[in-house]
Amino acid sequence: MERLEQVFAAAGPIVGKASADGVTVEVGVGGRLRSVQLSPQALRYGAAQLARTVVDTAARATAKANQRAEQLYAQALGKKPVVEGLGLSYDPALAADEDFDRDWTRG
Amino acid sequence: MTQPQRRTTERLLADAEERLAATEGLADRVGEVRGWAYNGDDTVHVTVDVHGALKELKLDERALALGPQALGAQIVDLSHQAQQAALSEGVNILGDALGDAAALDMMRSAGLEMDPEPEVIPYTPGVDPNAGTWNVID
Repeated sequence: MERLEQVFAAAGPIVGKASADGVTVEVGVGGRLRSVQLSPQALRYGAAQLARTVVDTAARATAKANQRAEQLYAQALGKKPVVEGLGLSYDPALAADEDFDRDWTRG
Repeated sequence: MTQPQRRTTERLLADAEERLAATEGLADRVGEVRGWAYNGDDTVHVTVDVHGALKELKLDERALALGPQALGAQIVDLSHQAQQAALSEGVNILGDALGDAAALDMMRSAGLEMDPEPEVIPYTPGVDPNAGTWNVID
Protein backbone atom coordinates (compact mmCIF):
# COMPACT_ATOMS: atom_id res chain seq x y z
CA MET A 1 0.00 0.00 0.00
CA GLU A 2 3.03 2.21 0.38
CA ARG A 3 3.29 2.46 -3.37
CA LEU A 4 -0.35 3.55 -3.56
CA GLU A 5 0.30 6.38 -1.13
CA GLN A 6 3.39 7.45 -3.04
CA VAL A 7 1.57 7.53 -6.35
CA PHE A 8 -1.29 9.60 -4.95
CA ALA A 9 1.05 11.92 -3.04
CA ALA A 10 3.09 12.54 -6.18
CA ALA A 11 -0.06 13.25 -8.19
CA GLY A 12 -1.27 15.91 -5.76
CA PRO A 13 -4.93 16.54 -5.04
CA ILE A 14 -7.25 15.19 -7.71
CA VAL A 15 -9.64 17.79 -9.02
CA GLY A 16 -12.15 17.28 -11.81
CA LYS A 17 -13.20 20.44 -13.61
CA ALA A 18 -15.85 21.05 -16.25
CA SER A 19 -17.53 24.10 -17.76
CA ALA A 20 -20.63 24.82 -19.80
CA ASP A 21 -22.83 27.86 -20.47
CA GLY A 22 -21.10 30.09 -17.93
CA VAL A 23 -21.01 27.40 -15.23
CA THR A 24 -17.68 26.03 -13.99
CA VAL A 25 -17.64 23.23 -11.43
CA GLU A 26 -14.65 21.75 -9.61
CA VAL A 27 -14.99 18.52 -7.63
CA GLY A 28 -12.83 16.05 -5.75
CA VAL A 29 -12.81 12.28 -6.26
CA GLY A 30 -16.34 10.96 -5.86
CA GLY A 31 -17.80 14.32 -6.80
CA ARG A 32 -17.63 16.36 -3.60
CA LEU A 33 -18.01 19.98 -4.72
CA ARG A 34 -14.99 22.24 -4.33
CA SER A 35 -16.38 25.22 -6.17
CA VAL A 36 -19.28 26.29 -8.35
CA GLN A 37 -18.53 29.43 -10.34
CA LEU A 38 -21.36 31.12 -12.17
CA SER A 39 -21.01 33.91 -14.66
CA PRO A 40 -23.69 36.61 -14.76
CA GLN A 41 -24.72 35.18 -18.16
CA ALA A 42 -25.40 31.76 -16.57
CA LEU A 43 -28.28 33.31 -14.62
CA ARG A 44 -30.01 34.69 -17.72
CA TYR A 45 -31.58 31.40 -18.82
CA GLY A 46 -33.72 31.02 -15.71
CA ALA A 47 -33.47 28.95 -12.55
CA ALA A 48 -34.52 25.57 -13.98
CA GLN A 49 -32.04 25.74 -16.87
CA LEU A 50 -29.25 26.86 -14.53
CA ALA A 51 -29.96 23.99 -12.11
CA ARG A 52 -29.76 21.46 -14.96
CA THR A 53 -26.50 22.93 -16.25
CA VAL A 54 -24.90 22.83 -12.78
CA VAL A 55 -25.90 19.17 -12.23
CA ASP A 56 -24.71 18.11 -15.72
CA THR A 57 -21.45 20.02 -15.39
CA ALA A 58 -20.83 18.54 -11.93
CA ALA A 59 -21.41 15.04 -13.38
CA ARG A 60 -18.79 15.66 -16.06
CA ALA A 61 -16.32 17.05 -13.53
CA THR A 62 -16.94 14.00 -11.30
CA ALA A 63 -16.34 11.59 -14.18
CA LYS A 64 -13.00 13.29 -14.86
CA ALA A 65 -11.93 13.13 -11.21
CA ASN A 66 -12.93 9.46 -10.94
CA GLN A 67 -11.18 8.66 -14.20
CA ARG A 68 -8.03 10.28 -12.86
CA ALA A 69 -8.35 8.27 -9.62
CA GLU A 70 -8.73 5.09 -11.65
CA GLN A 71 -5.59 5.90 -13.63
CA LEU A 72 -3.63 6.41 -10.42
CA TYR A 73 -4.96 3.19 -8.87
CA ALA A 74 -4.03 1.34 -12.05
CA GLN A 75 -0.58 2.91 -12.02
CA ALA A 76 -0.02 1.93 -8.39
CA LEU A 77 -1.58 -1.52 -8.42
CA GLY A 78 -0.92 -2.53 -12.00
CA LYS A 79 -4.55 -3.32 -12.77
CA LYS A 80 -7.91 -1.69 -13.16
CA PRO A 81 -10.21 -2.47 -10.31
CA VAL A 82 -10.86 -1.08 -6.98
CA VAL A 83 -12.51 2.05 -8.22
CA GLU A 84 -15.85 0.43 -8.99
CA GLY A 85 -15.80 -1.38 -5.67
CA LEU A 86 -15.51 2.02 -4.02
CA GLY A 87 -18.59 3.29 -5.82
CA LEU A 88 -16.46 5.62 -7.92
CA SER A 89 -17.31 4.31 -11.36
CA TYR A 90 -17.87 6.83 -14.14
CA ASP A 91 -19.25 7.14 -17.61
CA PRO A 92 -16.28 7.52 -20.01
CA ALA A 93 -18.43 9.69 -22.27
CA LEU A 94 -18.84 12.18 -19.45
CA ALA A 95 -15.12 12.21 -18.77
CA ALA A 96 -14.36 13.14 -22.39
CA ASP A 97 -12.58 16.42 -22.52
CA GLU A 98 -14.69 18.62 -24.73
CA ASP A 99 -13.45 21.91 -23.39
CA PHE A 100 -9.73 21.24 -23.80
CA ASP A 101 -9.40 21.72 -20.10
CA ARG A 102 -6.49 19.53 -19.10
CA ASP A 103 -6.07 21.12 -15.70
CA TRP A 104 -7.59 18.31 -13.55
CA THR A 105 -4.76 17.93 -11.11
CA ARG A 106 -4.54 21.50 -10.00
CA GLY A 107 -4.17 21.86 -6.22
CA MET B 1 -31.35 -23.08 34.83
CA THR B 2 -29.57 -19.93 36.02
CA GLN B 3 -26.34 -20.06 33.99
CA PRO B 4 -26.44 -18.35 30.59
CA GLN B 5 -26.36 -21.06 27.96
CA ARG B 6 -23.46 -21.25 25.55
CA ARG B 7 -24.55 -20.79 22.02
CA THR B 8 -24.56 -23.96 20.00
CA THR B 9 -22.50 -24.38 16.83
CA GLU B 10 -25.75 -24.24 14.85
CA ARG B 11 -26.65 -20.96 16.50
CA LEU B 12 -23.18 -19.50 15.77
CA LEU B 13 -23.41 -20.60 12.14
CA ALA B 14 -26.88 -19.15 11.82
CA ASP B 15 -25.66 -15.84 13.27
CA ALA B 16 -22.72 -15.76 10.87
CA GLU B 17 -24.99 -16.44 7.92
CA GLU B 18 -27.36 -13.72 9.02
CA ARG B 19 -24.51 -11.22 9.13
CA LEU B 20 -23.23 -12.38 5.74
CA ALA B 21 -26.68 -11.89 4.25
CA ALA B 22 -26.73 -8.38 5.69
CA THR B 23 -23.59 -7.47 3.72
CA GLU B 24 -25.15 -8.56 0.42
CA GLY B 25 -25.59 -5.62 -1.90
CA LEU B 26 -24.11 -3.37 0.75
CA ALA B 27 -22.20 -1.17 -1.71
CA ASP B 28 -25.34 -0.71 -3.83
CA ARG B 29 -27.44 0.20 -0.83
CA VAL B 30 -24.87 2.75 0.36
CA GLY B 31 -24.59 4.05 -3.20
CA GLU B 32 -28.31 4.76 -3.26
CA VAL B 33 -28.21 6.83 -0.08
CA ARG B 34 -29.01 10.51 -0.59
CA GLY B 35 -28.65 13.47 1.72
CA TRP B 36 -30.26 16.81 1.12
CA ALA B 37 -30.12 20.35 2.45
CA TYR B 38 -31.86 23.61 1.66
CA ASN B 39 -31.26 27.24 2.52
CA GLY B 40 -33.26 29.43 4.90
CA ASP B 41 -35.81 30.70 2.42
CA ASP B 42 -35.99 27.34 0.64
CA THR B 43 -34.93 28.75 -2.74
CA VAL B 44 -31.94 26.38 -3.13
CA HIS B 45 -32.44 22.66 -2.54
CA VAL B 46 -29.45 20.32 -2.95
CA THR B 47 -29.34 16.50 -3.03
CA VAL B 48 -26.05 14.55 -2.97
CA ASP B 49 -24.79 10.98 -2.50
CA VAL B 50 -22.37 9.79 0.21
CA HIS B 51 -19.40 11.00 -1.85
CA GLY B 52 -20.92 14.47 -1.98
CA ALA B 53 -21.63 14.26 -5.72
CA LEU B 54 -24.46 16.56 -6.79
CA LYS B 55 -27.48 14.43 -7.73
CA GLU B 56 -30.24 17.00 -7.84
CA LEU B 57 -30.47 20.77 -7.65
CA LYS B 58 -33.68 22.71 -7.36
CA LEU B 59 -33.50 26.46 -7.77
CA ASP B 60 -36.36 28.86 -7.27
CA GLU B 61 -36.33 31.91 -9.55
CA ARG B 62 -35.87 34.00 -6.39
CA ALA B 63 -32.49 32.27 -5.81
CA LEU B 64 -31.10 34.12 -8.84
CA ALA B 65 -31.38 37.36 -6.85
CA LEU B 66 -28.46 36.16 -4.70
CA GLY B 67 -26.16 36.92 -7.62
CA PRO B 68 -23.77 34.53 -9.37
CA GLN B 69 -21.05 34.47 -6.72
CA ALA B 70 -23.23 34.00 -3.64
CA LEU B 71 -25.43 31.47 -5.38
CA GLY B 72 -22.45 29.34 -6.42
CA ALA B 73 -21.03 29.45 -2.88
CA GLN B 74 -24.42 28.55 -1.41
CA ILE B 75 -24.73 25.48 -3.64
CA VAL B 76 -21.30 24.30 -2.45
CA ASP B 77 -22.11 24.93 1.24
CA LEU B 78 -25.45 23.17 1.06
CA SER B 79 -23.93 20.21 -0.77
CA HIS B 80 -21.45 19.76 2.09
CA GLN B 81 -24.26 19.86 4.66
CA ALA B 82 -26.23 17.39 2.57
CA GLN B 83 -23.21 15.08 2.39
CA GLN B 84 -22.99 14.98 6.19
CA ALA B 85 -26.60 13.80 6.25
CA ALA B 86 -25.89 11.19 3.57
CA LEU B 87 -22.81 9.94 5.43
CA SER B 88 -24.79 9.55 8.65
CA GLU B 89 -27.37 7.47 6.82
CA GLY B 90 -24.63 5.48 5.09
CA VAL B 91 -23.02 4.70 8.43
CA ASN B 92 -26.37 3.45 9.74
CA ILE B 93 -26.59 1.01 6.85
CA LEU B 94 -23.01 -0.14 7.35
CA GLY B 95 -23.66 -0.48 11.08
CA ASP B 96 -26.56 -2.85 10.44
CA ALA B 97 -24.29 -5.05 8.35
CA LEU B 98 -20.91 -4.75 9.99
CA GLY B 99 -21.83 -4.08 13.57
CA ASP B 100 -22.08 -0.84 15.47
CA ALA B 101 -18.45 -0.88 16.62
CA ALA B 102 -17.32 -0.81 12.97
CA ALA B 103 -19.84 1.93 12.26
CA LEU B 104 -18.54 4.00 15.17
CA ASP B 105 -15.00 3.70 13.79
CA MET B 106 -16.24 4.91 10.43
CA MET B 107 -18.04 7.84 12.02
CA ARG B 108 -14.84 8.82 13.77
CA SER B 109 -12.80 8.64 10.57
CA ALA B 110 -15.47 10.56 8.66
CA GLY B 111 -15.48 13.24 11.37
CA LEU B 112 -19.17 12.75 12.09
CA GLU B 113 -20.60 13.73 15.44
CA MET B 114 -21.43 10.99 17.89
CA ASP B 115 -24.86 10.69 19.40
CA PRO B 116 -24.12 11.02 23.14
CA GLU B 117 -27.07 8.78 23.96
CA PRO B 118 -27.13 6.10 21.29
CA GLU B 119 -29.81 3.47 21.40
CA VAL B 120 -27.37 0.89 20.13
CA ILE B 121 -24.93 -1.35 21.94
CA PRO B 122 -21.50 -1.64 20.29
CA TYR B 123 -21.27 -4.96 18.51
CA THR B 124 -18.22 -7.09 19.13
CA PRO B 125 -18.04 -10.20 16.97
CA GLY B 126 -18.58 -13.33 19.03
CA VAL B 127 -19.82 -11.52 22.11
CA ASP B 128 -23.51 -11.42 22.85
CA PRO B 129 -24.13 -7.98 24.40
CA ASN B 130 -27.32 -9.31 25.95
CA ALA B 131 -25.73 -12.38 27.49
CA GLY B 132 -27.14 -12.88 30.94
CA THR B 133 -30.32 -10.96 30.15
CA TRP B 134 -31.85 -13.73 28.08
CA ASN B 135 -34.61 -15.65 29.68
CA VAL B 136 -33.76 -19.05 28.32
CA ILE B 137 -36.67 -21.42 28.05
CA ASP B 138 -35.58 -25.04 28.08
